[in-house]
Amino acid sequence: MAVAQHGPVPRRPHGRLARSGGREWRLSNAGFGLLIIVPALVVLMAVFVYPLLYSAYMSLRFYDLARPQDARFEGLGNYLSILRGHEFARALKNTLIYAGVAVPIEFACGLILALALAQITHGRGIIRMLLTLPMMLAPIALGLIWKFMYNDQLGVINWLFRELGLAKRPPLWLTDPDIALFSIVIVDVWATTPIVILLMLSGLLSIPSEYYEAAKIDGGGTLSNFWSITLPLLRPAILVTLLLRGMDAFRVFDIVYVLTKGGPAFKTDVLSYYAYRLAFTDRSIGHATALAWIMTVILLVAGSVLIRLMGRQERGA
Amino acid sequence: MGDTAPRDNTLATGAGTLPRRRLLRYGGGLAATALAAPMLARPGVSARAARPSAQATPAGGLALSAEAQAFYTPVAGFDGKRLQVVVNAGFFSREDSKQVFESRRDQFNEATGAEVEYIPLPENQMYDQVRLELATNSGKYDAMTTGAGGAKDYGLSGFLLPLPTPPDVADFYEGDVAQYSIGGELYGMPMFADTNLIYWRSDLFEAVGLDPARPPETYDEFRDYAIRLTTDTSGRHPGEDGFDADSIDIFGSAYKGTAGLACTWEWYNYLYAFGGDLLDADYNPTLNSPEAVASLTWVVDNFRTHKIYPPDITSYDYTEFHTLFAQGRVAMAINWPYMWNIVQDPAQSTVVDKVRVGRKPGQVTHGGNIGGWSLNVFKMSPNPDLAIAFAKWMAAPEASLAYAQVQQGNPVRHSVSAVMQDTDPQLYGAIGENLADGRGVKWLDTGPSWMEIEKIQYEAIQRALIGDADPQAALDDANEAARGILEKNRFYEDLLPQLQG
Repeated sequence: MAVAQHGPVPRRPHGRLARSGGREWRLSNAGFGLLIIVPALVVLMAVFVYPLLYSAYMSLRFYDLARPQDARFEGLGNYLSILRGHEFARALKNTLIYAGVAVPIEFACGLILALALAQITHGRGIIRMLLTLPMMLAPIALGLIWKFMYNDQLGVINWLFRELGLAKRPPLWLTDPDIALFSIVIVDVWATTPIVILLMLSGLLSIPSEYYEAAKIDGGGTLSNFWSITLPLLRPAILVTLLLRGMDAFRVFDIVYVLTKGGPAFKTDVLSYYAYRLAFTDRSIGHATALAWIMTVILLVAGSVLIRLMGRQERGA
Repeated sequence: MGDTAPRDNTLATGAGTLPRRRLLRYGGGLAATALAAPMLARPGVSARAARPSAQATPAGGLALSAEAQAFYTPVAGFDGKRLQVVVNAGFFSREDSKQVFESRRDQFNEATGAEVEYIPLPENQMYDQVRLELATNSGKYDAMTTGAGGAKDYGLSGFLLPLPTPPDVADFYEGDVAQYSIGGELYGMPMFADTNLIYWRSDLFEAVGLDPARPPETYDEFRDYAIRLTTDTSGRHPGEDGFDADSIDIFGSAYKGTAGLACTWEWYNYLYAFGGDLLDADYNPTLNSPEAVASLTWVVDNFRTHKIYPPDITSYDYTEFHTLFAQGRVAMAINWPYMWNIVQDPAQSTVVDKVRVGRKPGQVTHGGNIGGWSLNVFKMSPNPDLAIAFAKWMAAPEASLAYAQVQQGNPVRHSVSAVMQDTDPQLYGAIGENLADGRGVKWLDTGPSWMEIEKIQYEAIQRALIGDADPQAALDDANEAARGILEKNRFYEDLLPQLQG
């Protein structure tokens, strides 16, 4: 191994590095830290920031995939066109119903199961693994499984309905326009409750047991413990869970694509699937990116409101 | 280099020093190997002259003129050139089909000295991905297999190169050539043809007193048969006392009512048979013509009034449709020839040897739509001549015969149909009859607008099926929307002149 011609390189305190030859680089700790994360920043710019800015740029343009040579600046025309259209109103309504029903149900189910799991000491790992199996399935795979389960003639659900005498005419899960959207909610709850379980369980297990011991001494019951100790201390985990699940539910695409493709007659159309159709059926990248940005703004506003509400409750407590 | 330059002509590396001379020796050796590798990999390349390869003759037992033989046979002289050809991954789902494609490719590579690489992609992803590459003119792909609408869709968008007309073009089914042509120029070399057949359960026909060898001749008769064949768990039929519509054991027929092309492309069979069409001679939408409304009303009444379809057909894509038929739950079906393999396969079907196929019913006419696949060459190809040579090679009679033998149902040529008739007279007789009746879906003429119009089309059909609107109202709305799409996309100004040559 070559030895440096001018002796070993001495280090000086506070991140300063002396180089051989008498030159010194003077860097603060912050500067040094910034320097070493530059490669990661470059990657982040390339795969996140640049596409984000480019999509914003495209949302202001008329861009038809079949006629790229006719691309031109449109200003806010794409946004206005989307917001005024009946398809947007329909998809937004369905998306809000979907998220508004799915998230509370999976939160409630997840919290209850997490509370139960937290009480188990032996075999918790195995039970947790079994409960979280659905989230290990790819969304497309679970969508296909449920699509056949829901089939009236071939599916196991309606077969059980008939065999057990639960209903002579079992529901038409994916084709009855009044219930199709809720059938998709069921799939979403089944698939994503495990995520809620994991988030809630990690929050529950981080609550110091001393609080419950003290409450026991003071004569506190299960319900009062839950309201007075568990919920307040679980608030950060609840916020994260609701934010994550709310955003995911708002952006649902894959299970809608597999189960109904927005049908019947677009009764289960949601914003993400509408954006997909704008891009690849209508071939209008400008409109598709404008809709994506509208969705982003909605999520940012909703997320900010939720964080503020939770913050106020914390201060109030 | 100043004071920091090493003085002993070594290069400091992570593992130690490497003398520069040794580095140059190694590096030069590697570079020489890299340059020589293409030559080492193909022995004898220098001896190959620019002449057709004897192994690449496309005769395959089918009569071929010298002119046609010269047209399809690839020539050498493309050494080192590469082609990236996007193909539907579905063609590779069966080993025998995959082998045909790979064999054709390998023979072509050997004849030309080029290297063709297939890029298999799932069908929906294929179109989306290629469209993005075309829009950015990336030059990534040279050619692509597309379905019935691809040649006009991409051709009218200006993405394709026109292809030379084969000398034996009369051997291809006319409808196929027409659906891959724009203004008299061919933009897709026909590879597979496709048409719908009527499938029926001969055993069930016999059980209810129908002639097992004779399918319904008209769609009115089709409905009558379907009502007789629809049976509940007590053995009763629609209209009989005690018939239980919630406990049907066998349905007279079924319909692919999903939100997608399966829905619209089944309906076109009925539309054409009832005397309707999608566009008139001036390319004005005619979705709400009396004939079109009658055909959709026929479908809706089958579903809502006569209960001869399963109750959840608005979620039925091809998979649910053919699965239900192969499981013996449906007595008659209108579907593509691919289903024949499924119903004859004991691993997938409970009705092996109980199914027959034939000419679809008519009403005003025996018309039905055709599908198919062609090979298209992109303008953005860096090797257009090679890509065109490959497209011709893949459309040669021998290739058409090979595809038909493995796909079992898609002869794109009259001559291939004649050969295949000997292997399965029933199937290929039915295919030939229906292909002769068939014509292309006119939405394809609208090029880039067709998918958007298909979307409002299947929405209209689903609205009528679920009772959201009656067929007239649903088709009125769809017709108006279709007109709007054509105007928005400047079809009449920019594309219609191209179609009309």
